Amino acid sequence: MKRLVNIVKNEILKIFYKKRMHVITAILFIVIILFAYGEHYTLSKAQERAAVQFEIENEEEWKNILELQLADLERRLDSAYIPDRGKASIRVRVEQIKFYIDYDVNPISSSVARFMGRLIEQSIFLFLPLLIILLAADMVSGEMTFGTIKLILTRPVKRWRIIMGKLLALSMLEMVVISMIALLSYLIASMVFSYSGFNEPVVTGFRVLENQLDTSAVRTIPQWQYLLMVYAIAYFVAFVIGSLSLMVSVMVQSTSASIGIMMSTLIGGSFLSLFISEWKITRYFFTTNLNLTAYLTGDFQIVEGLSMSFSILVLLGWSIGAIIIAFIFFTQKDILS
Amino acid sequence: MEIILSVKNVSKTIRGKQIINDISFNVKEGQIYGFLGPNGAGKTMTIRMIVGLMYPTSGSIEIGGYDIRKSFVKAISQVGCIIENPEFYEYFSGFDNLELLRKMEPHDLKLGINEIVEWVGLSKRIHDKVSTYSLGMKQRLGIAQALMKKPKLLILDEPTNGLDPAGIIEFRNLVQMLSKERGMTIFISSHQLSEIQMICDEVAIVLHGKMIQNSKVQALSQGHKIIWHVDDVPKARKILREKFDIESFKDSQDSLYANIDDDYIERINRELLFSDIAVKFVYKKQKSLEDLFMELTGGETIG
Amino acid sequence: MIKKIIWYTVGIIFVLGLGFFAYGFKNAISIGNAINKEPNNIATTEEEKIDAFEADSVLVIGDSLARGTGDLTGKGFAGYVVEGLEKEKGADIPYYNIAIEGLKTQMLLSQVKEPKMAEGIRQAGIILISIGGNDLRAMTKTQSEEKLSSFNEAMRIFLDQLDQILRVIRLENEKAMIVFLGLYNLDYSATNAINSEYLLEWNHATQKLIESYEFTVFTPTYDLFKLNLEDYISQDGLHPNTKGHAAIGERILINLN
Repeated sequence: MKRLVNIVKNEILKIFYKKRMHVITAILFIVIILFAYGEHYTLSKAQERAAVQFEIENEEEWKNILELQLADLERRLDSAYIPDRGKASIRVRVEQIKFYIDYDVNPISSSVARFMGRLIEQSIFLFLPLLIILLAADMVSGEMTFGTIKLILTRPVKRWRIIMGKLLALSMLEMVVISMIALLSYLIASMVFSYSGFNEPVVTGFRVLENQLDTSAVRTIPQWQYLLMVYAIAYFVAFVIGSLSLMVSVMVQSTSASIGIMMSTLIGGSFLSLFISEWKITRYFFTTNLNLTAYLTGDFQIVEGLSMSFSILVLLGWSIGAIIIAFIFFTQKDILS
Repeated sequence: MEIILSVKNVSKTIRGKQIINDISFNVKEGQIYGFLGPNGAGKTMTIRMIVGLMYPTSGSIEIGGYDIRKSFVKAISQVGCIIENPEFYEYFSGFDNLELLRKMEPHDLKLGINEIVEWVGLSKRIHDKVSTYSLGMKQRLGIAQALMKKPKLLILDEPTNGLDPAGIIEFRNLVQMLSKERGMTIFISSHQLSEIQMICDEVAIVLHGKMIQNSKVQALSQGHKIIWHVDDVPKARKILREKFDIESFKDSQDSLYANIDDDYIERINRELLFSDIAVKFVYKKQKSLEDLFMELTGGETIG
Repeated sequence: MIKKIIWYTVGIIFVLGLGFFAYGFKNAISIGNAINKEPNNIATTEEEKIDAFEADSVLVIGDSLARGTGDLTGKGFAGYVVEGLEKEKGADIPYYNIAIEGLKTQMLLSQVKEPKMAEGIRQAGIILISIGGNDLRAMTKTQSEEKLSSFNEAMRIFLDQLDQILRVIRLENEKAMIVFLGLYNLDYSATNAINSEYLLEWNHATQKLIESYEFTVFTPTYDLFKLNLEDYISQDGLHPNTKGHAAIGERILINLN
């Protein structure tokens, strides 16, 4: 046990001394600043547009913006060019907006808390996985490339303990990355948005029944609780991507191959979600199930049989499979480098 | 003497290609054992199997009586090794590298990193990053990590690669010192015959993945050879073959040698003179491992 | 030293994070999974709602118009009717709006057939209904060649279903005043003459059906919007705006008196 802890320690130190966390922090810093600027910019633009269009200058302004969106969506609903399936999700959105109006919830103004949530919602299916790949892809392949694998595999430690140590270290560092996102987005958003809004109610619990948005299960929860949920989901996604990256890292000889394989799988695989409603097998791919937060926000494409627990199970299956393969491969592997 | 490393009928097949074919040898406690062969003969792969980096397709390897596969931890606990080039985490200091490796040893093992660092002469630079080290320094660090846990068996894979002549001498002294003063068993692989011959007690020769000789260095290089310096080497060899049924070897541009008894020398000299071959001089020399190797491999170039 | 700091920081973040996220993840799953619950769970929430009905309440059923969509105040015409009635009576009147956006007649029929709806209907003094707009709109999108036959078919089904709805209501409550809202046009121009004609025919047939029951009022809106379309229709070009809803409410109040 003590030695497993030591191995975990070693692995964490390796990542830090490789300056991998520095790189990730720098990337996060830049991306979050850009995201904050983008949010700020589009919001003020949308508000300006709304103000001009409705010639309204009171505090109820946002309602008109919603009305505008609503009108636009309903016009699209009447269009003959949009297929029924697409219409179903537009209809869901329409009813959601109506719900916001009814309950006086402003979905387009921003607060620190709302920004923190939006950031995760937007990054969970691509940006976050890319960061995790950066973190995990060279954990084993890097040691192959530089030959240091020979050093650690000739110590009196069984191989499964070493890969276990790496997996645990990775799980801990994923938590650090998620915490960094939370911390950096909090700090940066605090400078951009004046309203913190951690107690603001968030509408969640949308569900779909027979292509209708059913709002009977909709409830409001405080923003901080919602944030806890999306960040927890983000950690789960990070863990899944981490275990897949570790598996690839074990199976290839070089870091660049490992990063390349994971990135192309991720980006290529995400295109598959386009076919998810028609082509049944695509729903069992990990890339099509990454956008878990959409189940909370009601922001999803309606597909029969897809639900949060389905997606979580699929991802869990991938992750467990990857870990098993990584363990078997690592313990049986001939070290040739 | 007790056998500390036992390699029994080890074979390795990778993707249908047999790389190592039925290698067996024993290393006894206190020996300096040489593992000799040209590059690509399968030395490194055999060593990787000994330290558990690769798994044999068949056969078994025991270190101190423990099977490397079945009781990996117990077997490898007795081994310190440097496999090929000494590679370290370049972003750590030398000290951090040793510390990181020390943490992987059983916790009851007391290891003095500072002592070993001083011993290999790296004290001044040990807190600098490994990326700033020269090859020689990395090699010292490699020795430090191998000796850190005071192993019974020290395995060195091509240790003199890249060393300058002074470094080689220093290394040779180090090995002999470890063997004599600490009673360490040392297993060295090399493609340099002179190395092995000078320091090893026993040697195993491997070629194309097969063992071709395994015996004491003394026994191997017993006997003499006679060397003729002549003006026409091919003609001289032809005479030896046709008239005396003696297989001779070309030694250099103008010399040849043969393993024969002293009794023949006079008759051969006379015959050469009769055949109009100018003999500059003839002398007797103790056979070296190199000669043995030439004979065994049929002239495969090494060293 | 630095190594210790790194290790303890990472360790603490991990342990705290695991604690927080375990809680968050549990909540996320429970909320996220609400999406795929069986429909009967919804029935229970509606049942609870309907349990609360009180005698002589106002019950509003039907589509988005009944729901109040388009009215920025959110009250809808039904809200104005209730307000007017309260002013007259000088007391609060219980008011239940269970209209659903996008509802079609078929769906309304199954809604009123729900066993627990019976209680709500029984308690109601006034029942406001707006339905059929979504049925007709779906039909008018078809090509003109088939239009006549499909219109006739759609209207026949609609009338049949509406008849059933009214019968279900009357089975539970013989005396409640049923106010049925006629359809308005979205385009009164000459270019839309064919659709306007259908709309009038639809309204006429509906009115005839409504009038065949006792204690019923058919409140037309076609005429109301004809001259005030710009003024009464909301930004979405489909639902009445606040003014439009108020005007409908006012007209119903007049009818009721």
